[in-house]
Amino acid sequence: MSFVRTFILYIPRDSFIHRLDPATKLIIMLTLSIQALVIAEPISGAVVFVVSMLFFLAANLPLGVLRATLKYWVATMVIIWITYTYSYSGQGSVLWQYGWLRLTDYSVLLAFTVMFRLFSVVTLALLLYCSTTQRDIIAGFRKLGMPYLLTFVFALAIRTLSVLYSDYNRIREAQMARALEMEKGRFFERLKKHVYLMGPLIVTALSRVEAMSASIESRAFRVKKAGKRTFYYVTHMRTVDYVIAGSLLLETVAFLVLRYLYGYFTVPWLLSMIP
Amino acid sequence: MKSSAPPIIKVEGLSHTYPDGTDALEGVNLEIKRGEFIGVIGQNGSGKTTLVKHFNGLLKPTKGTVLVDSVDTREKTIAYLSTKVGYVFQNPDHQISQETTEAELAFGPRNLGLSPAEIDHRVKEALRSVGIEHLAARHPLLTSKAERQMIAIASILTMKPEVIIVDEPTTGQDKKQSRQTMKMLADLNAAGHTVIIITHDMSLAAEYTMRVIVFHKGKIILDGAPKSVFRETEILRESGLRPPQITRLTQMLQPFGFSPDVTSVPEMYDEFKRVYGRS
Repeated sequence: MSFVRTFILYIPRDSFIHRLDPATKLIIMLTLSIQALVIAEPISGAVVFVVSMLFFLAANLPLGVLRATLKYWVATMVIIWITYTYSYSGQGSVLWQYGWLRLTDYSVLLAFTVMFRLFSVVTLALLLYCSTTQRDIIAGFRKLGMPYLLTFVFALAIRTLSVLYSDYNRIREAQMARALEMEKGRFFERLKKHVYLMGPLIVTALSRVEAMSASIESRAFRVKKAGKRTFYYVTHMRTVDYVIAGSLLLETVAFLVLRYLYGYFTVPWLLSMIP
Repeated sequence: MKSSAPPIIKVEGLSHTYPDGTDALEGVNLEIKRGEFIGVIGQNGSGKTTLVKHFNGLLKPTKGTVLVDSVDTREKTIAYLSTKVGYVFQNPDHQISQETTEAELAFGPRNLGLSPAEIDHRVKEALRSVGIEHLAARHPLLTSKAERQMIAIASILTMKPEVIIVDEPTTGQDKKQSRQTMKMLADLNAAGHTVIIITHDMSLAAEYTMRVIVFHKGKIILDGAPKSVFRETEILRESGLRPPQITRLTQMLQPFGFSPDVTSVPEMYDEFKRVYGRS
């Protein structure tokens, strides 16, 4: 359960990032993710990835969190390289060709671009989930103006997913303790063994959902409420939050202008920069 | 059992760090002899469950070794170790995947690839040992919490493990059901099984176990007979634990001549008789 154990659970640390307002952390994640996604060349993509990693390191989170995701990163890299480099039929100088398989300088650069995009987004998501409690994430979304209904549904979803995954792992261990070898056999044999996990998981999930809905109803909860909704838990932004959030928002706007009005951060732009 | 017999479980310098960097155990040394009834106590997150998950191979040591019946757990699969060490999880609903109690009990032996005759024999034996023959044909999820706990324990017994670990055996049960569960575990211990319970209930630990191991921040801070462990009130307090109520009462009455080692009501009755000299 290594990866998700860390992914869904907040890791308390006394770090600069942990002390930031959750809205600021959401802005860091959203702005850098937008930058990573709109950039269409690998050098700037690598810069955004490095910046994301610096934020991650500043959070003083154990590197084990990233190590646990390593196998997924490698698998993703392999898929990206196969799909983007050997089957790409767009522009660029051909470096190598065998039948319909063609490798161009353009496709190699694009593969790196997509790789850095994904790595940046994953690092930023891990940074947010490991340095921010679920309650703070919800408070952050609320502060950024997300409608209450959406915030509520999102809160329920992330809480339920976390709890269900933790249940799934316990059930898996309980069945393995009775000699069910989950890792043994061919793919379909291993898949079939999940039947023994699904039954207990569904029963546990239904029981949790029933308890949760009863507890919500018994406290007279309504999504639509007359008058202005007030909140018990409110976070406060400090100067450092405004500086970081403001800088990143401005930088992202500049990025978008340069990207879409002036054609920066694309492979042709990068190639034109090379003398 | 001869004291020279090798321990069924031997833990040497065991440390465990989870991938997120949490150090759950630090340099734990421990020997568990055959036939012992042990209570592992400690606050949440103290390392109790992490320790026992090493006994059946669900976790492997980051440092140190865990030997079960003289075999290093690193070298064996969970399936193999499950025939030596049975682990009953806290919530029985987490393991129930079959439609009848009989089928639930047969689940483990089937995974071991045993013959139908052997499976049948083991299921009947486990139903009898735990006293749930009347539930054999019923859906396990349609039974009470205490019965489901019995079914979970019986389904581990069909693996014929020498050691039985039960995580919080009495959670969600009333006093009567708790006593039934603990009596059944005591019977299994009397029948030769080594029993390890993880519990927050100091009274249960005092009443049923012969040895108590106290965990705090991934280390063993106390290990001994319940009476000697519960005498260490200061150390227990530092780790957020308190001796059973009856022990605390007798410790308060110590200036009046009471022994501080009382752990049950019958013992307290005897102590009253001793102090006041009446029969």
